[in-house]
Amino acid sequence: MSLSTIFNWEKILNNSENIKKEKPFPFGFVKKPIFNYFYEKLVATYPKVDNKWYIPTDMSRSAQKRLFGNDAKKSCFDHEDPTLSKEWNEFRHSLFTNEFIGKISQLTGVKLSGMRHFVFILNKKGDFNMPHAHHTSVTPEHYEYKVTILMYFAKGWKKGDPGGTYICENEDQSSIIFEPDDLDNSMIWFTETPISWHGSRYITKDVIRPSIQFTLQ
Amino acid sequence: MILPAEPQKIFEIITDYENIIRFFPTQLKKMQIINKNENDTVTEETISISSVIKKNFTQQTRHKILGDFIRESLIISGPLKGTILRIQLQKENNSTNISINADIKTSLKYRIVVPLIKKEYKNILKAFFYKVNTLALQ
Repeated sequence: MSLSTIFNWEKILNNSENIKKEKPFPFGFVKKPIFNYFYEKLVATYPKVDNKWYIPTDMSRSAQKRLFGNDAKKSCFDHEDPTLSKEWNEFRHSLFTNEFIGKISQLTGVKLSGMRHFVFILNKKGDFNMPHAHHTSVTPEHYEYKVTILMYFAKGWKKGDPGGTYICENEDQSSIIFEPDDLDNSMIWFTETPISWHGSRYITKDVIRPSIQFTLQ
Repeated sequence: MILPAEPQKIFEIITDYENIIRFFPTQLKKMQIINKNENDTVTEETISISSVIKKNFTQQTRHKILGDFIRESLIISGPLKGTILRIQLQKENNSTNISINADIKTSLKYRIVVPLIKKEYKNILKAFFYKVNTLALQ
C-alpha cells in the first residue's frame, strides 16, 4: 500500500473546505484526509482497550492512551506492532516516509525532518483536556517538535458534540476560536509556538472518540 | 460551572479528604487527616508541582463545613499559607452549580508568580471537578 492510496493529498492540500489560519498561531483542519476504503479498515481495527492502554496521571486531563509497539512515550521509530492490523501497520509506516514528511511540510509551511512521537488516544464520557500549550517557556531552538497533528476515527460523530481538539487564544477555555465539529475522518494540525493553546471540552454524552496524535520535528 | 451530578454526591467526594489523592496521583504525594473534630478537619498534604514553579512542599489545611454543601479550606502552613478556598454547591434543576472562590496568598518569595498560580489554579480546579463529576455519576 503506497502513501497515495492511504492519504487523499488533493483533499489535504487543496480542498476549499479546509480551514487554515495563521492567527493566533498557524493551525488547520482537514476533512476526509484518508481515502474512505482505507479509513473504514482503520476504524474497524482501531485497537481495543486492553492492558496495553494506560491512563495518564496529568491532573489537567482525562483520557486513555496506547503506544504503538515498542515506542516510548516521547519518541517513536519505524517498526511493526504485531498486535495491530496490517492496515494500522501500513498506516504507521507511511508516517515515516520522506514523502509524508514532505507533504506535511508543504501543508504546514514548516520544514520538517521526521516523526517525533505517536500515540493512540481514546476519549469517552467524562474525558477532557484543559487548555494547554506544549512549549510555553521554551525557546524555538529547544522545541521537542515543531508540528502536532490529531486524526479522528469517530464514526457517526454528532456535529457540535464536545470532544474535538479546540484551538484557543489563552489558557482559558472561554477563548476558544475553533473547534472541529466533524471527527469522522478528519485531522487538525497546529505548529508549535509558545502560545499554541489547545484542549478538548468535557465529554458529557455516551460517545467515544478514537484518535491518534503524532508530532513531527 | 454547572455539572450534571447531584450536589450531595459531589460534596461527599470533595469532603472525603484522604481520597482526594486519587484525582492528582502525580502532584499530590500524600494527604492525611491529622486532626478532626465536630467543626473542622485538618489535613497535611505533600504537593509536587512542576509547572509554574518546580517544587515539592508540605502544607496543612483546615477544612470547615459552613452549611449545606459549602466547604471552606484555609491553608495554615506552607508557601500558600493564608490562602482560602471556598466551594459552594447549589442544586440547579437536574444539575449542580459549583461556585469557587479562591483568595490566594503566597509568601514574598513567590509573589511574582501569583498571577500565573491564579491561572493554573483555575484550570486545576475545573479539571478536579470534571473528575469528581465523572466519579459521582458512576
